[in-house]
Amino acid sequence: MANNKITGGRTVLLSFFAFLFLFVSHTSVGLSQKITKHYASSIQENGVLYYVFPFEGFKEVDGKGEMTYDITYHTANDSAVVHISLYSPKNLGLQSAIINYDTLRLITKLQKVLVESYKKDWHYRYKFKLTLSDLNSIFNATVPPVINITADSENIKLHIRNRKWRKQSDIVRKIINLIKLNNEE
Amino acid sequence: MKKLIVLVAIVALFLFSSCAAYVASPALGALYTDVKYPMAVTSNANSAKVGSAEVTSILGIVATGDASIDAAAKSAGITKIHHVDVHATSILGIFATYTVLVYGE
Repeated sequence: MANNKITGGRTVLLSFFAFLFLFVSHTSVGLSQKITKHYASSIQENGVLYYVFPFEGFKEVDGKGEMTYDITYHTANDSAVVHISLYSPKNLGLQSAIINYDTLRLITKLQKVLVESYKKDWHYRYKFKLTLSDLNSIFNATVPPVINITADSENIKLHIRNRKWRKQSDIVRKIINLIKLNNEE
Repeated sequence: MKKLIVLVAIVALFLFSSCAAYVASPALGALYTDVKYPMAVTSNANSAKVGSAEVTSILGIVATGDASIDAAAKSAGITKIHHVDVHATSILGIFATYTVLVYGE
């Protein structure tokens, strides 16, 4: 009798955690194609401003640095501004970013937004511009890109896990599609 | 039937106890929230930049981050604010985020 009660209690607990797991996985992964929670748009006098919320996942290959990025796109000037936040314990003066994807290499100059302290690290906030077609080709890459950031004293090599990249690129591609559909006459 | 009651009680206890991560929102969902709403508008014209800042809460026990308007504006180099929106999400009271979006130039 007592054993039955214990087994019943376990079943209830297992059911509860199974429900939790299914719900969380449904909302966080199953709806990854649902892009509404990943971007915001605002209608302006001269076009539409799109903002893709920050994504994380890029990590330094030979160090403790981590990078997040967010994208702003304005239809009026057809250029996307990519803001990157690099968190690193090192003192760096960032110069440029080299984005290696598929067999291509895109080199862009970085422009400083701010540098501030973040926990025990430094937060380097920089930005660079890309055209929508460049952005599209990066997020259509079959393998995750590798980013090399050149700094005064050294180079920072950042990579992202395949699964994370697949999820992020799915979302960004869908947002780019949305922009293109809205841009069509 | 007894098992079902116990299960409902556990879920209810979890959702409605103080140990849950929820954020301020005009419409709150106990199971799932994904809401965008306005915070402020100014008389400044046009906005070509967007900056965001976020705080996160786990189980209502740990909450960290800086979701100030200043932090969001600084992140995009905004000096003239046009309007401010908020994006609030929460899943089962386990994980919640509160994101401030600042539009401006």
